[in-house]
Amino acid sequence: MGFGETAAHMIFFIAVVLIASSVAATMAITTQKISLVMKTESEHVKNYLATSFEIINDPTNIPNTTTTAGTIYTFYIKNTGTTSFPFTPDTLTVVIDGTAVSSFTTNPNGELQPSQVGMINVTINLAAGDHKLIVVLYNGVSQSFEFRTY
Amino acid sequence: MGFSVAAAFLIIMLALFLSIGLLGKVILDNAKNVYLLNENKIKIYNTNFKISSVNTTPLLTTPPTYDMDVVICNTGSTTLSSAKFTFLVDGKVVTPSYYNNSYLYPLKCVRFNFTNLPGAPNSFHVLKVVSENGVARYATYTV
Repeated sequence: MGFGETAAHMIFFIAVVLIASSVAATMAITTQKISLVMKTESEHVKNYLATSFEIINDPTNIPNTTTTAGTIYTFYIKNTGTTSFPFTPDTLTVVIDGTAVSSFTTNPNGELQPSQVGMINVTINLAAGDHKLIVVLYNGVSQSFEFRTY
Repeated sequence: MGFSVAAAFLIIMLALFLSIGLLGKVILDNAKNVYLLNENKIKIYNTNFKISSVNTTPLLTTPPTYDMDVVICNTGSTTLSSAKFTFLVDGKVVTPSYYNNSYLYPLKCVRFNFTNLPGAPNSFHVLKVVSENGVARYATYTV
């Protein structure tokens, strides 16, 4: 066992450790990336699942007020989920009979807490008859509601 | 040669344990979310209540108003919070002035009192009651 053989063993040992370290590092980095993506997706899914709401109006009795700009219909939104969600005209999409409505206000104009009831006041002229309202939240959770105007 | 293999094995095993730890935590978090979702679904499934009675007292005011007592009984197995009920009379949200219990336990009833609601004697009204998780019941009454 000369110096040459010892050197060869050392070189072999260092090479093996280097290769194993790179394999381990690649494995750790890949796993960390996967777990980060999974965590982000998990948070998104958790938020989506925790968000729930209902349009609680009486479908044949929608509160309305006639103004010069049109009729203001009030729709009640109840947060039936376990988390609050943004409740502003910028974060909600209101669709009536397939057309997105831009002229609406919300009360409160901020966050809707669990079990809280908020109002969406839509200014629109609707013919007497059956209509369909769709409300979409910031994260895509939506509810539809059929109602009748007289 | 023997020591090199052991060192490589140790390094790779350490990385493997680290990976399992990282992924395991995320998988456990996901499982917890699914459990919470199922728990919420079970709560909604077990929610049931009925509007047991609606009593009104006309008031001699101008414009005419009335007071109303609504008794709601829990016929399900989920305890409901009285404060989280929503009431709509003729499509408009009304807030109870008083309720005699904070929680509506299974097989128990809670009385909700409303004052100064607009309506003349013999007028017909529709009441809608919505629980905290969106379960709704209707009733009609005459003042």
